[in-house]
Order: sequence, then C-alpha cells, then structure tokens
Amino acid sequence: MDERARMWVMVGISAVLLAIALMITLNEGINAWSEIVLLTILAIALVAIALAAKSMREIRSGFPLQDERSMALSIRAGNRAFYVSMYIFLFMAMAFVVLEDRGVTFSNAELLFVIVGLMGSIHIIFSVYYNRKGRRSSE
Amino acid sequence: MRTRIKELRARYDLTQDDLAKIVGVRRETVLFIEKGEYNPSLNLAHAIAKALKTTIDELFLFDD
Repeated sequence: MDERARMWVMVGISAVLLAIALMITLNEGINAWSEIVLLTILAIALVAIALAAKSMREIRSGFPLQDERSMALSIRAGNRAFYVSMYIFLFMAMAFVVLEDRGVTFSNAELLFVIVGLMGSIHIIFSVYYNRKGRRSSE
Repeated sequence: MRTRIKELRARYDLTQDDLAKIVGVRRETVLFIEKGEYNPSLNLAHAIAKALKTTIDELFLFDD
C-alpha cells in the first residue's frame, strides 16, 4: 500500500472512531462531562485535518511521509512515552486507591478518557521534543 | 563528523529539497546530515554519495 492510500485509510478509521465517540457522547445527553469530550473530539478532528493537509502537501511535493530519521525518532518517542505513561498510571492507580478510601469515585468512562488522553498527549510531547532535539543516528 | 554535502550540492546546483527528493528522504533529514547532527545509515550515505557523484569517504570527514 502506498503512502497516499495508507494516509486515507488512517483518515477513514479516525473519522469512523470520532463519529462513534460523538454518537455515544450525544446519546448520553449534554452535561459538563460530555461537553469536555465533545471539545476534545473537535480539537482532535481539527489537528487531524491540519496534519492530513500537511501530509498531502508533502506527498504532492515528492517527499516521503517517513524516512529512516523520522522512523528512528518516532520509535524513540514511542519508547519513552510508554515508560513515562506506565509510571504515571502506576502513580494514578495508587492515588485512586487512596481517593476511593476517602469516598471519591470515578466512572470507568472518565478514567478511560483520562488515560487515553494522557497517553496520546505524552506521545505527542515526546515526538515534538525528539523532532526538535534530533537523533544522532538511525540505530 | 563533518560533511562536504553543502559544497558538492553547490557544485551540482542542487538545493536540499532536490537532494532529498533524489535520495527519497524528508528535507529535514538532509539538513540534519549536512549540519553533522544526524549520522545516516550506510544505505542512505551511499545514495547521497551517488547523487553527488562522489564516494562515502570523500563525502563524510571524520576528525580522528
């Protein structure tokens, strides 16, 4: 599958997932929590559209979307994001146990939203950091 | 490590974008290699040397 086709498949899958999330959220009724989710979905969609447009421009100009350097950077960013997320979630799990003892509870949907949001944010932060900092070699 | 990429690009009137397209990488990769801030794989080094009609050992200069 060439880069253009792969990008459109990713855009399609993302659009379907966002639409499902939107439908589930709207089905639950509008409240403060669903407004946060809706704004997040909107923000993700806007960023995705901007990234897709940039990628299309790159492909049209004859540049690949990924090469050995960007691949090495994304592997390193993913690796770091995994370990940092793991320690943050471990800390959060302990905090939730303490909070639960004090009568503060969270719904599964809220927890899932926070966890996925945090994971994605940490990965984006590391990707931007390594893209700016660079990497000495492809190893 | 230093490189002679900039010098050879100028000789053949190639921009960083041109060279990136010829060897099939992103333009930032050429920029980082040129500045000596990224060590390319052997395959990429070979492709760049070939595009600039030279050899790897004439393109990449080591200080030792």
